[in-house]
Amino acid sequence: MKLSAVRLPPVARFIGRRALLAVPTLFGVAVVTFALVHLAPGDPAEAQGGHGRTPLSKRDIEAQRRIYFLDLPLFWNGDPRGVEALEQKLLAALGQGAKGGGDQREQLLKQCGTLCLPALARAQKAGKAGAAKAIDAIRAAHESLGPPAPATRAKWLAAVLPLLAPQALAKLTARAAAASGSDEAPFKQLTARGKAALPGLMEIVLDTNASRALRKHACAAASDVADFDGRLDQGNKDHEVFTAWRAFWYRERRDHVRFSGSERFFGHVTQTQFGRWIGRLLSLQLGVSLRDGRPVTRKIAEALPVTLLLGGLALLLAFALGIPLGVWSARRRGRPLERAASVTMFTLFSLPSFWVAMMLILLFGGVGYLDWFPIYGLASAQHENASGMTWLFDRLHHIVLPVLCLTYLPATLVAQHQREAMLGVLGQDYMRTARAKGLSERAVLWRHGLPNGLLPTITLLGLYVPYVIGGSVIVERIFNLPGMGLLAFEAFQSRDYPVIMAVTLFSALVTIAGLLLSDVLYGVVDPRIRVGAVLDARDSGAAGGAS
Amino acid sequence: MRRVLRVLRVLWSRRGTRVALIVSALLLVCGLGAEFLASDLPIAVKFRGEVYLLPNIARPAALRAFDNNTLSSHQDVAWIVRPLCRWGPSQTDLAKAPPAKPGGTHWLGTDDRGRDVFARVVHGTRAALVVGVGSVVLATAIGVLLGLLGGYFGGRVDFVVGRLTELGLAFPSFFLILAAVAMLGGVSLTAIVLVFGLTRWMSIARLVRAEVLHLRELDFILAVRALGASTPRVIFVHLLPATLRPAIVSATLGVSVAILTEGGLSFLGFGVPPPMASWGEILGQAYDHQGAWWLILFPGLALTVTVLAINAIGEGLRPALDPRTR
Repeated sequence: MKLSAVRLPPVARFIGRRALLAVPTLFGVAVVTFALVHLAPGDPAEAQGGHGRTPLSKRDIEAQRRIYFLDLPLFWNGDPRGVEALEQKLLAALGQGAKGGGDQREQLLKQCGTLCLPALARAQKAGKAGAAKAIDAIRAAHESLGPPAPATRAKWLAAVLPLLAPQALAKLTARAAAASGSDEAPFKQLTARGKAALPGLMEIVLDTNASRALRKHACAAASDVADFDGRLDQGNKDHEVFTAWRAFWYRERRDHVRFSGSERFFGHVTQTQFGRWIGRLLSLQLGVSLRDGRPVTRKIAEALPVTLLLGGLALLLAFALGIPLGVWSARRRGRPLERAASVTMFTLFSLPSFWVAMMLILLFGGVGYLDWFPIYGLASAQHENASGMTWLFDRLHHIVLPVLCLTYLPATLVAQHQREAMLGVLGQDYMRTARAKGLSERAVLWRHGLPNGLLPTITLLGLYVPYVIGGSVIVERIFNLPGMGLLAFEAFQSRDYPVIMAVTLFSALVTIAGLLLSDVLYGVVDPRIRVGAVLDARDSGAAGGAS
Repeated sequence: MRRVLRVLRVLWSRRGTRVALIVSALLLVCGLGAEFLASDLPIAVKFRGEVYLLPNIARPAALRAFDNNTLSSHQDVAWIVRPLCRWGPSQTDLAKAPPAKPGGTHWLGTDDRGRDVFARVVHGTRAALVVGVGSVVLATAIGVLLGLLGGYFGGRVDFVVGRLTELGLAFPSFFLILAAVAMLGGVSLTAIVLVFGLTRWMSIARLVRAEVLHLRELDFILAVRALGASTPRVIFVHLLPATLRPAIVSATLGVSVAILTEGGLSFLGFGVPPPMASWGEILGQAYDHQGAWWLILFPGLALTVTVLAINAIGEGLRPALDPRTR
């Protein structure tokens, strides 16, 4: 059967097309955020010294630069290499002899460990100055690996080098992976072989199919070997430890392995700042907040329900109020009360939400006049652990004002749209028919008029999803509600790069999802789907909803 | 020109839009002549035998150490013409603990650094107008250009323009603006105008494109082409004026959106660079001084009245520009 013979239902094809559109958009947002980070004065690593944080040491800046892949070229890597790059750096440092750079040499030697021993051995054979000294330094750190001290360097090397050969390491790793959780011996051997064993150990650490006991041993061994502490037994949550290891390995792998041919080929693009960054986004490694060191995904997961609750309630109210209001004003078009109502709505439409919020606080928040509503946070301290109705009432009491601030604008827009739609419906022939067959005016309006007039309004629903996320910044900041908006605000304020990137991308995702939702709704309520129809609707209604 | 006058006459003929026109004119006066309404230096003064004209704008070195208050009581001053309000937008007065209630020479009180709220509200008009008008001019230019190209050439050009537009519409613009402003650190007014302009051209592009699709099939374009007009001439001389009509309403409403967004940004502390006055910035101070109603009421009213007036004009332009109602 040919592929073209498979006919998807129109709505499904439509959704598919729109979903495909999301890909370039998300990519665009990613590019823009990436550009912003790199346009920012100073690089992200140095920027962390400012904004009230203690300045970072030079070493920490170096580490931070690595986290953002700033040591890689921006878009094109002419010569992507794995561990060879590190080896070459080390050999170059050795070549400088006693002229200085001793600190850097020390550091590089520590970073390489047994990993560069084969390269060093070759360099020594070739008569490279300083190589012998470097080998001795590594030997001092890994004395247990070869024969004990009286043995000459050559003898020690001869015993050790076979142990560090890729095949030998692979064999040992396989034995460790096959061992039952109680058998620590192979891990002890891997630990003894130092940095060279890290790639194998990481395979086990990141193997989600391995047993926890096995991964625990691997984590411990890897922590011994690497400059990174991620043991499974220090009161840390398992998945957080594994996430940290995953981020670590995503960052450090290139200094520990030899790239295969394909890796080298694609490395031109992937081994760059941009490539690594996109890769990290695709694998959802959003990093940790610079403010408190907590994983960004966790912070978003905590903040999202608050925003969804506020936004959901606000939208529900907006439609519940706006639709009847729109029907009513269409029905009573031109009467004094309706004119007054539409002037009021026009005014409401022009009110900035932050002003409304501040006025509400001033009038009802107990700072100036009436003390009706709490204005800070989501719950009172004394009711935090209360049960049942008290808890619920306390929560509702806290969100009255914020929800009001989020509701009035969409409500007026819904009412306006509903009014327009109803005006179009009221003049239709079928309305006259319904009246002619003797139905009451009420039945004509609600049974025949409303269902038809409702269609355009329903599609607005998806368009307000991004409004909810965007509008939450101001309202959540004013009322101190720990949602996405406040999270974003605080991140913007302290230039918390990982959170800013995650939140921006997330809001892009939500915006796209909202557009998709309105398209689908449009397709469902109106079988004559027209591409872009929703976007047209958005144009005419977007004036107030944008901020 | 006659067309503009005709549209203005239509707007003037209706009560709602007439009020809006008057308010807009006042705003323009406020924005352009802020120094005459509130400044720390006089409009004209004779000081130590020398006449200074417009020191409030020229800020001569000889008067650097003085302000309206010290000059008024100075013995060497022969005469002085003061602006409406004697305080400048950045001048601090710590005689009363800031923020001080309205009263005395501070008609609308002072903010948390002792600066006169009236002066700051008046000078804030300038930030609002520059951001509102500047960004919309930029957005309209981009939108009209892309819409014209997409609509006229169709095919591949239209595809690219269409995808670009959809991309732009799906961008979370408020977040992006916040991110841009926050990451770029202290931004200038120009940067805000640029960012706003670059994120708000999409609806205009769509409108113009739709209009061009309709217009290019009409006889007058065919006639112009038959007369041998070049493509740029057809687009920019014949199509451009005709497509501006739908763009104008959208652009007018865009001004109020931009002003609101600037207010929101300044409220959050990411707006115009200090010490520039902005309505949102004054409101933002009220967040730390709850109960200081004058910091909320007056800039909020200024913002709301401005947005109302512009929205009213935008709504009024719709029928005024509609050829069917001519």
